[in-house]
Amino acid sequence: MSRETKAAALFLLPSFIGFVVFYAYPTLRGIYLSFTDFNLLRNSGEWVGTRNYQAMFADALFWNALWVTFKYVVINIGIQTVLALGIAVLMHRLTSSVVIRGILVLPWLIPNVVLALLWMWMLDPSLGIVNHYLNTVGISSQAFLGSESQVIPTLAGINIWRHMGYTALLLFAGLMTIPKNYYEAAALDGASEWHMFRTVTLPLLRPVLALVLVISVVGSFQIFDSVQVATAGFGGTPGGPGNASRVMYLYIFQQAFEFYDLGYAAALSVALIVLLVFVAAIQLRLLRAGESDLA
Amino acid sequence: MANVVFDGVSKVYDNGFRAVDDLHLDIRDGEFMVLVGPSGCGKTTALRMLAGLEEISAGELIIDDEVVNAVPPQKRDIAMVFQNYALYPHLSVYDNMAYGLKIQKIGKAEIRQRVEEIARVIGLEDLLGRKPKALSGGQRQRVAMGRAIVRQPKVFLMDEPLSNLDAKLRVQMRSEVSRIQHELKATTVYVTHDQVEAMTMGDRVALMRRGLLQQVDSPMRLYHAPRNLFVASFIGSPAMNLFEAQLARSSGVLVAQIGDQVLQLSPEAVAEPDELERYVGRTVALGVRPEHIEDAALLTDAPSERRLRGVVRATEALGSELIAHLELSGRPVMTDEVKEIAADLDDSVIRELEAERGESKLPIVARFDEASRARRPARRGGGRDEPGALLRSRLRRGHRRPPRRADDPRRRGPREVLRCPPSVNARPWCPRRSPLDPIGAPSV
Repeated sequence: MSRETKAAALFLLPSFIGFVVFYAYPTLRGIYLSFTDFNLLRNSGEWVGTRNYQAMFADALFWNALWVTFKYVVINIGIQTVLALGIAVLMHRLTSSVVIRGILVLPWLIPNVVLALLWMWMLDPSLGIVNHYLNTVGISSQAFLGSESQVIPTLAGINIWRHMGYTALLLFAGLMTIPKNYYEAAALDGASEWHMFRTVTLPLLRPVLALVLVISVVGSFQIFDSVQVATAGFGGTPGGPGNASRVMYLYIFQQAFEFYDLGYAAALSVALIVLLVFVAAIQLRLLRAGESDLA
Repeated sequence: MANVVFDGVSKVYDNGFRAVDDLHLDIRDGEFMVLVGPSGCGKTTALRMLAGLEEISAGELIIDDEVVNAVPPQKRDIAMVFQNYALYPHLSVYDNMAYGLKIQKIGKAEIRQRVEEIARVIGLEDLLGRKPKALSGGQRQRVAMGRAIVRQPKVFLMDEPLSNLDAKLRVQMRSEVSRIQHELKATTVYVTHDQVEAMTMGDRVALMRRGLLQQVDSPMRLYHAPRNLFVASFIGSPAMNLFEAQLARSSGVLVAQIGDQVLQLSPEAVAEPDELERYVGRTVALGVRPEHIEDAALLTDAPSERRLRGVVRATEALGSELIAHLELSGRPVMTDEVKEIAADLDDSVIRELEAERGESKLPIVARFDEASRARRPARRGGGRDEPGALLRSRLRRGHRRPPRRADDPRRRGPREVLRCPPSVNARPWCPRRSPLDPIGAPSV
């Protein structure tokens, strides 16, 4: 080994140790566990082959968790992205106020658990302020988190409100990279604001939009804490009512730390990872995220 | 096509900066009007106000007898070529050119016909499918032109469209843009900081300084009858030589005392001799174009009162002519105008100018006939080193100052004799409208 190779190895060593200890080993260990019946109380497990995966495909609650999560992601990302894009474009074309940008990210700065508790109180069917105001404008009280049909849209709404400003800020940063000249050229070509948005802003924002979408989709698949806290209040069970909000992460958490079935929980995690990799890859491909028309 | 009128148009920014101040400019139908001036003179702001990209603070902007102050750019029917072209990077050349036409809801077949026709005219036929990224600078420039032309707008605006091209291409595109403009007979407003572009392309040239219009005239009028010191020193390459001189009357004729030498100003060399009479006995700015200084060695019959003696500091043989950098004893004109133009080229020039002024050294540039044998004196042993060397092409627009080496000793050489020819053109610069300002207390 030459001196340079040795030196290189030496410099790489700290990162390599970190990578192995904190990333590679846990991943491999997790995958290994998914092929065992490891029990947290027994603190031991035997190799069971693909039994966990077979069980997973036969598990109605797994499919339910996937479906619930999917519903949440679609509502959350759909509305959040459109709103954030709208806010970002408004900020870009109308104001350069730092105060407005600051206010927009405020919800994102509040811890999730605090937020979940706040909304739980505000949305309470009998005591909550939201229903109070709905009543004053003549709308009857809604169950929100207590209703099987409303719980997922409500959770999505809370998280849209929380993340919208942050997403808008990311998109706004992307908009800043589009030279003003294009808008001036388009204006002189006779383009309306809406036409400019479709023919200049969207195509040139595409790489940033792709990145933001992948981050927020992966992020929203991981919804856990607000469900755990908000649906557990007032005698409810986390994931309730019924299984209506038992999202994937919550289900994994419950398998691991309520039923101590670490092997099965690991199998569910692996399935979720595979799914996320697929979703992200498809998104990046569809949006041609690697190519930018700018510069 | 249309005529454009700036009627007392001003632009004041929020911070109080007056970018354009009370601009009156009448641009005729089909005219090629060039707005020129040093950086920050307001030319681009004026253009952007015309485009509708900048709000007008005061005055009226009129296109075809309609006041358009409040008309958005979309509705003004104006096309603009941007300095960096601003081609839509995600669209092909074809789509870039068709963009404005599609918005006008013109039929597909007609769009195709018009785009292809213009592409043929400006030599883009083979590039229609390409994205701007895959084009050279010159090709992008053409696309930007094509995108403007294809719309057949009322007015074309061009904001330094050639400044991103290399020197050779710039010269080529200069004539091409002029040709296209004349073929289309399109009203065109062209902004540039390059006075050569202004002189060669414009039907008329509007020279601006610090937001104020200095003079609007044909290029030749601007060159031969500059209205003030700023116009005189801005237009021309190499720039006009400006000396401080004492105007006097000696045996019936006007003479100018330059340093310790006297130059006779024959009546035919002076634009308005009567006007000049008022300044006898006072200090004036005397301007002589480089091509109006000749090598007296080639004109042996020149009378002595038309000769000045100077030292050759450097020469640049260009084949057809010889640019000679000379030094006389005397004082260069140092007014705000001269300083501003110098600073626009290179900040360090001002310091040198002032140093020379203190030393009573007057650098001048002359364009001699190729037959001239003027050369920088050869080195001689025992020559005195001169600090603050003078080798440079100061104020030669578009030319960089030759690099000066610290170890380059300039030595005092033999004197060449030179002469201001008695031709009518070789007149000292004389302002026509504003009186010739005595520069008794020039700012130093």
